[in-house]
Amino acid sequence: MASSTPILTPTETSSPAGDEALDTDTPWIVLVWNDPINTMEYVTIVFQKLFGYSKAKAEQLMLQVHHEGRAVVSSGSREKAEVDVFRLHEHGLWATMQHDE
Amino acid sequence: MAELAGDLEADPSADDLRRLRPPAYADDPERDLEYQLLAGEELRQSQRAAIEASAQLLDRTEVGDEDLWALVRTLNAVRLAVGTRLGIDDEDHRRPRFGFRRSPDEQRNWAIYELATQVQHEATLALQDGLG
Repeated sequence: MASSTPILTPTETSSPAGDEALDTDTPWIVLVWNDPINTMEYVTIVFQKLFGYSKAKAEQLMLQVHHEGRAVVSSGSREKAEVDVFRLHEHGLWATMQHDE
Repeated sequence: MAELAGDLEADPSADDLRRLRPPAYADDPERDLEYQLLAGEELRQSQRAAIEASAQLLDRTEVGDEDLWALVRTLNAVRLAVGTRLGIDDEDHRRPRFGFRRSPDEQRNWAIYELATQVQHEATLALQDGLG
């Protein structure tokens, strides 16, 4: 039976990529920054505990923080990076996250 | 430790506690505000739980790794808070040589800082043995 009212049909449209797309495509990195109060031995065991790094690897990262001011300690999705940052903050380390450039 | 727990409860935004609440998104204040609203209280609860666990160790003769972790975390938090009060912001921080020039508060803070550092050092060595 014919209808006089217009028939609406859905069509696909493209929408501009927002932060959500950027979050999905670009990995995030977690940085630990140097703070003169955290001892080198403490930072080392925190890296071993939280990320399962060997002592040698943990010391290498710790020395990078100490000498260069910062080091990338983990990477992954935004959610993973936030969890890693939270755990580092729980242990008193100065950690931030950003997109991997 | 009890004083730190009280400070975290009463005024977590106090300046000497700023090292205990670092930003997660250093370059994005809006995202960081969102993060702090979601995770800030959880972080403070975790810090208070570690302090409480550490305080209970004083009455015990045997401790496990979990207890030691609570202790080193708490001692580190004490060092961060007291170190901030002392104005420690570079690698070469040592107790000033001439004690008589320091105020009683400053002397007390240095004593706390150095004691916390020593105990944390010993506990860290014990944990390192377990980590291999």
